[in-house]
Amino acid sequence: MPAFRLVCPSTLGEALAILADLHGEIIFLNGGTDLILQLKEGSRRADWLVDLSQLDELNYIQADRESIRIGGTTTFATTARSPLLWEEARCLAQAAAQVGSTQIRNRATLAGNIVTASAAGDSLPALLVLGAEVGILGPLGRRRVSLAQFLAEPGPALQRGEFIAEIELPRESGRGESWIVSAFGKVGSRSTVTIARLNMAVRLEAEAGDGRIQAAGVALGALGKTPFRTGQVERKLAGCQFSETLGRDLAEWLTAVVDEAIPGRYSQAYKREAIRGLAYDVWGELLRQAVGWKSYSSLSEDRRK
Amino acid sequence: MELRLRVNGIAHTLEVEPQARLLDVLREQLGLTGAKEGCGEGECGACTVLMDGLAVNSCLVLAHQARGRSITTVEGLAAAGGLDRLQQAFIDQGAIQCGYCTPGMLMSAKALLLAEPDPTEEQIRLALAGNLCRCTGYVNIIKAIREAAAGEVALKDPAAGVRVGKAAEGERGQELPQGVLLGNEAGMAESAPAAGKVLSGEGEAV
Ligand code: FES
Ligand code: FES
Repeated sequence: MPAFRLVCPSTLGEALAILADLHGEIIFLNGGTDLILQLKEGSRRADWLVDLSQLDELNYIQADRESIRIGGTTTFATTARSPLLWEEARCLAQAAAQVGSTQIRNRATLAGNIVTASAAGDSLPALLVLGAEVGILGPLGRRRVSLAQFLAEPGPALQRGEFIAEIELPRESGRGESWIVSAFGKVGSRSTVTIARLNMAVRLEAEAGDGRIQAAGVALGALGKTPFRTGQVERKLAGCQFSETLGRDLAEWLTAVVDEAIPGRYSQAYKREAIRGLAYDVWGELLRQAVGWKSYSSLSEDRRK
Repeated sequence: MELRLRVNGIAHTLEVEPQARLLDVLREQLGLTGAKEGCGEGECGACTVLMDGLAVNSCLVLAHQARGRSITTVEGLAAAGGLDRLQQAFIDQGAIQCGYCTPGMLMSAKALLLAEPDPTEEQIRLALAGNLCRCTGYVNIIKAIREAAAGEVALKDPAAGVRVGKAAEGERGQELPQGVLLGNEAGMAESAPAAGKVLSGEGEAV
């Protein structure tokens, strides 16, 4: 591994204070599951590595009325077993549970996944449909950007000495008369421990009365440089009534998105088929969740009569 | 750079380069060659060890990231005088052929049983998803883990087994068995003085 010097702060205050004294290039180390390889291969170099992985202050999942906040050193393992996230941000818990292997999930963090911004990063589509914001700390203090904006940045999204301290998910106060479901799915070359060939998250907010979709979030990963939300599909879903058949329309619409995103790419033929299967899987999961919502189940019973 | 950590219950203070991985320190500085380097990139799990009771790939952890932590390697599995129930079950079930994957398999299985003493087959498969074996086809490995789990559950005497809270629930203050053994390269073993105090995983606020 090329030489670097290492600092190991044990508190956030210490980490921020140290930054002022470091000259040259700085890289923050968190779980290390991507970075240590990149350093070994020489694809990344730095004068200083700052290890954040033992900052317990940033290891949390907390909620107040407005939002759920996930600290920057919180691992996928912790994320995947949070009852709160399974309840309110299920697509994220599902994605976290499918990242890498147990060994990887015990080290890798959401914040690291965002910084790496891998096209196939499993948490990213989930975070996108949940409207995640990224809380950044650095020498100039604190700032906050939407994840969508963070990923769209053409250059490095973080300035020198900045790191992700927190991820914030807006919390639905539950507008009383609506229900929310979300799900994540991926296709890879084997069922576990796989880099996604394609991944997707969907979040729906529907009216309690008639199951009409008020807002939809659909995000796709591994189709181009960074995961993205597809506004055209989201707009088509909005206003539709949530039903099994709508899943077929979704598959159709998504095929068109694939054709647009990677025209002529060798993987196009495969991915335009794969996305249909993925759409059915994710939709099936949403339907299962919706059964728990009285209005929807009574709705489907009505239809059966 | 000075590094302090516990390995198999023994406190060490070592001089370690910033670049060294946990795997390098275990194998080269401490002579614990149980953990193997297969792929060196987080795919095969041959380097799996426990860090505060959780399975990690020691090829993807810088040694200094283990500062203050408790590491358990396969050499620390055998309680005084005998093999761990898991090790015995691996032998009995023919779960070992070339043996290269075995230390990693054992540590992943151990982490699972610490968190979930009576796992389902599905849970076993998931826990081993990060461990590759070229020889056995996994069937006997899974059988062995089921057998070890069954033995552990049947034997509810806490003094005989490992008394551990559920790592999966973020409980702190787990204890490893008394008299953890530390094998050296020649396969000799010396007894560690005291039980290792292990802090499990991350606390979770919600
Ligand atoms: S050597 Fe660490 S996972 Fe293969
Ligand atoms: S026994 Fe040979 S790799 Fe598993």
